Amino acid sequence: MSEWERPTQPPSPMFFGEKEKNLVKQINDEIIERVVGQQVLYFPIDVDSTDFHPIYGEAIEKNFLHPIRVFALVEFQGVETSDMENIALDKATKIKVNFHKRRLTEDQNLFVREGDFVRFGEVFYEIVKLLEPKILFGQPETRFEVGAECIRARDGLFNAG
Amino acid sequence: MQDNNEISHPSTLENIDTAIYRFVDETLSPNTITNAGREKVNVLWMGSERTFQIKNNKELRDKVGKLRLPLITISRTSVSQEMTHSRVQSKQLILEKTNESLSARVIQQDKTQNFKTLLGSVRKWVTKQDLFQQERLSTSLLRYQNQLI
Repeated sequence: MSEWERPTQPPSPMFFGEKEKNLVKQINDEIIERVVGQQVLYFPIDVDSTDFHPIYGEAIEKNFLHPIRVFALVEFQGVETSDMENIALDKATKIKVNFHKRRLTEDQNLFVREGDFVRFGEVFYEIVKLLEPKILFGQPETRFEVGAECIRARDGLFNAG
Repeated sequence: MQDNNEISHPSTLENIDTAIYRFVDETLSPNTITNAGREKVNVLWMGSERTFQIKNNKELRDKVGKLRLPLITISRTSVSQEMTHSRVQSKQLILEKTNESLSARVIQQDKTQNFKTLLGSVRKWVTKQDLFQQERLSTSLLRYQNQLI
């Protein structure tokens, strides 16, 4: 190639390559696990062995795969009084668990899904909403955070023994 | 010819719901023409648990979890008892309705005695009106809602 010929492919990003992504992962791992240290126990529901009703899709007893300890950033959002219309007052406890996506999928082979349960402290929470709000370095294939909004499971909904 | 060995299913809510679902899904079997050709429209029962929705039928969603449309949903919106359509099982009234007359009545003393004894023991709690209501065969009206998304 002569000195003034234009290359067919643009050059790879100078500062935002694989090494930098790994550095971000390493720093995040370190902060989440060694500095903050919050952890939850993740219970993936096993849909194959759980006896779900074929029409209603409900199961009284739910089977789960082996629970996995996961380090994550947990925001406790408090206990709120909610008014069930024309019925009674109720209480709702919510948390938001921010998982480190690459740590989960690459190192622990875990995928977060709605309907699974997490235990934070002594209390079980059901994941009701998932968010993936951020991408790393503006690159669409590098989403690195999974936010899970969870509500406290009612007594009897899930029993891990 | 009707098969007498056919198993009869009781008219429970669960069985009626299943029948409605299967009617829409299997008998009506709605299809649609898409850019990928003719495809069967998926039928969903509303209100199932989150895990079941996400993990049970993976063909319902694409790889990021968005529902594949079109989709038909079914939900039971209400159950109510319709007293206006109820029938009365009393033999006397059935005879009146069919213009037949009761010509003679044979009283079986032992049976009558049994009923009297039973009525006497429960009269404290059960009024005559209650007994009359129990004889009625009321019908239940179930309303369903189908939505095409």
